Amino acid sequence: MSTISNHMLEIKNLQASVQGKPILKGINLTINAGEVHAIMGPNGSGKSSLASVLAGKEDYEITGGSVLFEGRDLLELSPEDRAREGVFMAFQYPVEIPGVSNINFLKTALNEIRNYKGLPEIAAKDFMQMTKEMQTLVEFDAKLARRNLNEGFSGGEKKRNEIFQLAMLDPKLAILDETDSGLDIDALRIVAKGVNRLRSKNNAFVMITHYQRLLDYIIPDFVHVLADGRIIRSGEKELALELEERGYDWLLKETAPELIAKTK
Amino acid sequence: MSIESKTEKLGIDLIFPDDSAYRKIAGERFMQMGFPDIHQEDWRFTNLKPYLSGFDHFNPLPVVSDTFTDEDKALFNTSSPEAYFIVLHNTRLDRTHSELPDGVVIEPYQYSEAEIEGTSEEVRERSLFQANVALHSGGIIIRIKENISLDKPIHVIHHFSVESPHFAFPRHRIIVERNAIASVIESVHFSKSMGNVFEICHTSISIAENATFQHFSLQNRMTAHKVINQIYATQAEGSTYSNFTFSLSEADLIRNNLDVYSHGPQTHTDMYGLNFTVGDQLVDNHTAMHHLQPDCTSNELYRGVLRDTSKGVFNGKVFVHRLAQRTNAFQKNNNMLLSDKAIVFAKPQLEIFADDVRCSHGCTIGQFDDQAMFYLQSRGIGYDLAKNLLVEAFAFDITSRISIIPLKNYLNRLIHDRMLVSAELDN
Repeated sequence: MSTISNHMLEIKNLQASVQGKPILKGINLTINAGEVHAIMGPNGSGKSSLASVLAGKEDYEITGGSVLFEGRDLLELSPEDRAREGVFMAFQYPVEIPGVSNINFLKTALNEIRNYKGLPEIAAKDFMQMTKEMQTLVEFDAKLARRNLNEGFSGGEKKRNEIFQLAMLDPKLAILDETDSGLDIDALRIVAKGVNRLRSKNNAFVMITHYQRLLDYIIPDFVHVLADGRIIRSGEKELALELEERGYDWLLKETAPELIAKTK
Repeated sequence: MSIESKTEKLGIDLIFPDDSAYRKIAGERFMQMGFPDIHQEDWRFTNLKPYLSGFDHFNPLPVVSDTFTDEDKALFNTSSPEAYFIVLHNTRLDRTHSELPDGVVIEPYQYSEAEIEGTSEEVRERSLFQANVALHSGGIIIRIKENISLDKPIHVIHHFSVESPHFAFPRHRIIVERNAIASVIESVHFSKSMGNVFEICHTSISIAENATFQHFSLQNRMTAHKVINQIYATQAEGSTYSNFTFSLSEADLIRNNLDVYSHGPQTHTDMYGLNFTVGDQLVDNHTAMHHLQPDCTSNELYRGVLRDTSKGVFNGKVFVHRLAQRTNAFQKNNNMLLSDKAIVFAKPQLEIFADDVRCSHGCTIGQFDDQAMFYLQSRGIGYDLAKNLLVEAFAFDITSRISIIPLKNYLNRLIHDRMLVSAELDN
């Protein structure tokens, strides 16, 4: 029996814990190609944990549920195979790796992905051409691209490097984990512009954010509110505006009153 | 003309030239002291005994002249950046193959009482210092003249060719005169032979006022080698000494002693080291920075990558003497253990007798950073390749401090190749 799924990502009743402590308590979420989803929620609601679980971070133990990516069981794949299949997470705190050049790192990553797909290594000339194009597209400084991976980068430069990597690796599903945090308004605009240019009918974005501000620049198709490891409300972009105006409490009162005491 | 005697303690036939009193005295001192053993603090983790087996007499090295094969020559050319050359065969200077610029003078090593007497007591009291004085043969003196600034490094090629196990006791001096700027790269090469060399080498370096001397020791391509390498350096006012020691060979024993003394104020010293060990190799680095004068700075970074059952020892002493006010001394030692059975003994040792100083030291022993590993994996880079990248990055952090670009590139390639070979061994 085979089930052909038209969905890009199908998360069903996903549960995960860290050191025995439940963090995700039954997430259901379906994402299709061409869509942009925003995931919002109060601090500690499990937003970043969801991103980490999808990217394959080892610290999390999956205790229940399933995740299908283009019909394949995502959870059984290694982090590198998830990336090769087309899942990309932009880190909230990108790691500095002195001694590894940004360009060499990207070329290695690109060739690993190509190798997985049975494609030959990218020609040096094509790679340079692509680097140039993508630098322009996401407005990433060529000087930074030549430096060591994130070494000595400011917070904003690191986030912009994540978007540059996203542009170079061209994933199907991009998860942006609080990419807006720590960005000033100009950097935020540049990051948003980059994402908007990369949007297509073939890829999907999940934006994890604490603030509505990012959503002024990248208009989501759907907004989900996460609280205590579950999605308590899903809606369209107006939901984000309502949250901005009224905070999270009213929603918690309506959907999960038992959490009010907990979050205070 | 030599006298022969045997000491029970050493268990080795001792033949030393009786051409002068100083050798006789040193030889007697050495016989009393014997080889260092693990009961001495500086040799606690490095037991020489097993490495000495098979070396049962101190026969002088055979005299060889031009025994280079074409293969050897190709090796020299590819294994160094553009440089001037000094070639030694079995520790003896070969002038015909050496090529030097004006302002650099070389001659075979000559014993100098002043040099021996001028050596610090700590170093003179070492039994292997006495052994080298008693038994030294060959070696060179390199003099870089006042105000000379070299456009290329000098590559000293220590070429060995033996057919049976031999001790070697080379002794060298490097004199860098006032305001001179020079770099020396040393490497060891073997002609294909059955022999095995146990080298006990002493190099004394004096760096005069405002001179700058960079010194690279490339310990690679030394399969049939055991080496105990003593470098004794003194610095006059305003001088800079940078020592880089790369232990990237398959030699089963490498012990480096690096002792640097600031004899004048406002000196700067760099000590960088990198070792990659596999199998049951042992690499032991003992460094000592003696800050004797005020307003001096020193910067030390040693890194080790250990696989299999290999062993690393790091002992970094920093002495700040009473006069050495406003010293700024930094020391760091990082070790990456890539196997459960590899061992590192690390010991930073700071002794400070001045009150207005800045000294810091740090030491880490661990694996690569999990966060960095996950970051690379999340971009599609497989675990093994990511591991190689991280180990290379760890090593490149040392080579990035080399200002001679071709040398840096050469070492990076060497590290990369060594990584690939080692990674295959892991699997």
